[in-house]
Amino acid sequence: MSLPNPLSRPPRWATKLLNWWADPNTSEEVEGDLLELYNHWVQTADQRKAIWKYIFNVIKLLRPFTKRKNAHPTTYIYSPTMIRNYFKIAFRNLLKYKGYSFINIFGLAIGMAVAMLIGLWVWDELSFNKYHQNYERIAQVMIRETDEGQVGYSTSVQYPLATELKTNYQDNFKHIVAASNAGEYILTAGENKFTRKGQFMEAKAPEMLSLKMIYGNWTGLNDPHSILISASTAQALFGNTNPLDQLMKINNKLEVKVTGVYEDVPLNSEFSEIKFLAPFNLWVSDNDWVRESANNWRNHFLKVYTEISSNTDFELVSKTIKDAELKNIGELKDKVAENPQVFLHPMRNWHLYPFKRGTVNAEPVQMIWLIGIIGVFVLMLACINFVNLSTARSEKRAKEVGIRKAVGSVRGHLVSPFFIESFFGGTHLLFLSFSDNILLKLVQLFIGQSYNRTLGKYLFLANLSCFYFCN
Amino acid sequence: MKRTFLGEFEEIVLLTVAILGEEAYGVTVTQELEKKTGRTVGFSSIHTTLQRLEEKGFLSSRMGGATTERGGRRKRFFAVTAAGQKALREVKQVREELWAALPSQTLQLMVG
Repeated sequence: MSLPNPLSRPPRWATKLLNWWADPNTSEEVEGDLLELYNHWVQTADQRKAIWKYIFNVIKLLRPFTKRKNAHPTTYIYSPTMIRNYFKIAFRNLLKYKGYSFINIFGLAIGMAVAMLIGLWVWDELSFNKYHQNYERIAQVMIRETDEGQVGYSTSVQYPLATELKTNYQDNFKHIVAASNAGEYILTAGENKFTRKGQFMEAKAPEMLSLKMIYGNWTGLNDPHSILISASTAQALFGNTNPLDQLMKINNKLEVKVTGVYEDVPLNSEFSEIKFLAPFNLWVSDNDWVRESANNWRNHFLKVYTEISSNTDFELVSKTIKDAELKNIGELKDKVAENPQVFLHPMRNWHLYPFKRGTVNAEPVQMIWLIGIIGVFVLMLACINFVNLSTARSEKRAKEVGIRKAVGSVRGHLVSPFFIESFFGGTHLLFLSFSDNILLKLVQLFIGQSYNRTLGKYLFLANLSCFYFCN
Repeated sequence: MKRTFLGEFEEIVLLTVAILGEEAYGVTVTQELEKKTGRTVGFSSIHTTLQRLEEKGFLSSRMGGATTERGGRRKRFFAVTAAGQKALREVKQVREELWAALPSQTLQLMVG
């Protein structure tokens, strides 16, 4: 075939059109064929006819919506077959290098278990006293005194101070509850005798502390010869029978009637050890010295708990009541010299910011930071160890990567197995760390609840899920 | 009898490809067909038919080398596959059986 006459070229726009809109899968040969045919037409007929034929054919060949078919199907990373393969390989690797797998997984598992326990502990510390619904508004009345240059803080206050607060400052408070010190008493019901820690408190205490009543209600202490007992105490004294209205004795002397049973206060509360509550007045009537101290500003022996009104705050109330003692002890010159200042110590600070030797004790908070940081470090070390071991391992698997590459894996294909392996190990690990905790539980059962005992806490696995998802 | 899905035009194109052998591509098939049957066929319809036959598995194709006369564009050469050959044979057989079944009188009339 002769070379095409440069003058007799098919219209460029038609060729362009073909180039743009024809079936992309066959455009090359179609363009060639048409060009060849055009030359043929130019030679056999006249040019105009050839051009028309060319255009006509181009238009008939337009397939504007055809997609390019790929000669090779795109590799599909997440095909079920490949994923199954990754898992298979992961499992085989796990079994093939048992020692390595053990160290790797167990190391991280223990690290995680430790971190979890520490997390639980921190969680527990931070949630201290939150069991009480009025947590945000409860405070204890305290006195700051300066004696020979030494500042002293005391939770023990005088009987007349409680009276003073009730008569002159009641507006600031929803409840003012005077209470005895917590002490151990012998509780007797029929033949059963148990020693339990308890406190004599004024009638509003159950309401203020939002005790969860199982039997009876918050008004139980209104009766001067009543007692509220915790569920565990009720169980010990009365078994499974309904303890309401049962008679019992405190210290084999005070006759009281059970007017309520409350759910045991959890260990992460200041009141966790209080297993019974009895009326404050019963204690007063039983102890002459208490009655005699009703106007004695020198005798510090009461605890006063308060719930402030909802429209005020601790600082404001503290400011208002600061001279509640001072203005009543005018004739006691030595007491005045100590400049006693009354203030409120909020419940949210009881556990983490207690007073010690005239200042706020920083230890509890420091301890939380310290232990928390240790936990983070343990977890980090475990993670680094895990990553390190995994990386070291993957070096040895260059051959496998090579083969995968040779049979056409793309980047994703090469990375996925390693990810899945880590993930696979990770899931094992999660199980393990949970089972570590279960293991720990079993160990505790055997050696007497060591972890919880040593911490004086009751952390349990159910917390764990909460801990995970809440954070 | 199993029916082979082969239209009349498809059959002619397939036969032409078989005739051309090694040299069968769009242009030659078009020209050959025009020459043999005397009817004007558009290149586009030949192209489409060739594609369809390939999809059906009666033809296979390969790309040839680049040539300057087509502006460096390659040709796509077609060849009849085994399935294509079988389809052609079946069509032929059916035709022959039908012809053979014609009563001799009618046959004489037709042949003239």
